Amino acid sequence: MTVGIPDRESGAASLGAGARPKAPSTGSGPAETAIARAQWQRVIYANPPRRADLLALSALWPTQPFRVQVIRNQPFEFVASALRPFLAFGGLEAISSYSDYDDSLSVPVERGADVIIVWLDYERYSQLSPEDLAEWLEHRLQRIREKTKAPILVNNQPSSAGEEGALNHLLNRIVTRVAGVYVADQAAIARSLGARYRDERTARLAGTTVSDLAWLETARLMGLSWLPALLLQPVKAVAVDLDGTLYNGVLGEDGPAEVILTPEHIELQQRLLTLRESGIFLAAVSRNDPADVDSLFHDRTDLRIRPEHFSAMAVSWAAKAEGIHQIARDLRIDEDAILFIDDNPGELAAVASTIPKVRTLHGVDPRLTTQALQAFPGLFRWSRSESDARRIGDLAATRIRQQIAENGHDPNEYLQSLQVELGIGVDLNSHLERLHELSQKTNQFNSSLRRIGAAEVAEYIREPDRHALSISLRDRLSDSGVVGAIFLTIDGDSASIDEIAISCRALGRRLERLMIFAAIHRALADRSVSKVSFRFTPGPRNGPARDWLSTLAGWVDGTDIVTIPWRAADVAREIAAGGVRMTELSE
Amino acid sequence: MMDHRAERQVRDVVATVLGRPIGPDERLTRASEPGWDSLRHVEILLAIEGVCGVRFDEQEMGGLDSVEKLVDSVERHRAA
Repeated sequence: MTVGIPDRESGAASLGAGARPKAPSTGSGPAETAIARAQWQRVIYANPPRRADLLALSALWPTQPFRVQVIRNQPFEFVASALRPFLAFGGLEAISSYSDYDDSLSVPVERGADVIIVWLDYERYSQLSPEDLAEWLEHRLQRIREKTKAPILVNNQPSSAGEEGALNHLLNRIVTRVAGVYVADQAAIARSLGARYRDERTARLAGTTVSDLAWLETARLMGLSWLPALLLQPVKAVAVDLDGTLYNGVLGEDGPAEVILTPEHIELQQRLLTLRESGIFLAAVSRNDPADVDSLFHDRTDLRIRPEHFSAMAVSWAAKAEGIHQIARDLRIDEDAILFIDDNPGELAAVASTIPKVRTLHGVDPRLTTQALQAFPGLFRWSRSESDARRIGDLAATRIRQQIAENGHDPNEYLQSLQVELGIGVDLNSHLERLHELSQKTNQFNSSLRRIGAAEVAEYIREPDRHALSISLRDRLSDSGVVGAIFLTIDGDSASIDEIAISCRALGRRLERLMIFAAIHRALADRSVSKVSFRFTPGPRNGPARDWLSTLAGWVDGTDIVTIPWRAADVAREIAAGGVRMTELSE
Repeated sequence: MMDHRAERQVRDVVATVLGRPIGPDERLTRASEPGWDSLRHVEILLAIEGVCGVRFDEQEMGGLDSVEKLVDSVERHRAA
């Protein structure tokens, strides 16, 4: 008698275009890529995932390679082979190297690795208590950290009980002490799979009792969530179609009363609202009559998403690509931070061909769309900061500030009317992740695009002649949290500003010079620095940083260093006359 | 006589895992295929289970070292 999985047709034959094993093409166009990725979704988000179906996927689009070193004492290959298609779905390709199986983890660390994965079978250390094992592991992670600034992903124990749970708890504390270390949560996977996490049959053959399903779920999370969170720009907004996506039916033909809201659509809307609560903007993009959409929300009180949940709406008969551009402008984000969901693959293709960097998701099946939003590349964050939660309210406040600025004439009067308060922090460990995030994710007001990793931020915090500066911003309309990061190195009577990264949310309030000078002034308070140099590296989008640097000493063009004399007394007077309240941030 | 559906499914899966097509008359065995190592062997078994809807016995898994033996086992489990 057959036990377990129902009989099915060979997976590879049922997938359609893009599924048969073949050599990747030199690249397909953006429209073809959007369609091909839509075809992949049923395999990528299958429940449960199937190894043969995943292995049969071959990307027809360009992928961004990155180097990963796996330091391990157990096989990683069962994860690695399934990891490839998940990474490809998000546009990534891992170039992997594996250490020998080494319980001591005393292997050379590759300096060129973009990510280090530490992959452990903790049963091999069963003679150690959780405390001793944690102490040893922290020591090994510190040694690895000394050799590389790459993020380190280390798995925890699958059980949350007993000594395994105790080690997991200690590991959660280790990652707060060793910068740039993240936990691959096997315990969460084991909880969701229950008894299906283990398969005793493979112990003799493969040296592991972890089941294939557990390996596949690990590969899915690693490929769609954990690694993209370390390597890709985040998704900041989900732009969702209405007809056929948030409900069944066509509003213009069926009218508000006849569109159908299924339980799956309700669950999808609730998932979108959960994303909004975590700081992801929601936007609507629909080819409809705006009056009809107004009627829809007025008449259908059973819709979970309400108009006030959308931070931007593009409802018109214009092409949806225009709507996406408008949404990006309204939300003050780049198009590559937008995930566009539509049930119509033609619309996905049309938007992708016009705006290739927009991410797309085929939303024809609300159940599958909800599942995809649990693990779409760029949605997962390793940590949620207060700034994330403030993002939605901040945008509404920005619009009010713009109105005030348009109505006023005197810049100081404008700032005083807002009751602006700037907070400056120097070398705060509690801001490490936020500073890291600002360096990694800020594109427009980023002076050198160094993309400083968490480990290097920790060095700036720790070393006496280097500083990591935090800038927070609040006014009577909103508290934006930490919005700026400055990384600074002091050498004698000179200070070098290695990078300035200021969130888009803080721009446009005429505060850039005050924020930057106040932070530098605070860092140099006990130093005799007579000149400050700002490094600039041009990028595709950091025009705002270039423009600001150009106000200091003339036009900046290309890679450049702008040096200005630094007179602390003059700067102090400028800050005092700036019309804002200054505070000092602490741990 | 082989079940053609089982044979087609097994050959497809083995080809996918090994990353190369298998000729229609090719009698592929683990001994003859350099890429069919111990980890690939486990991967082949697990992938076949997912596609064919069977579950191999622990005792037999190590010995299913050819396409022919894999097909025979799939047929046997389906018939049970």
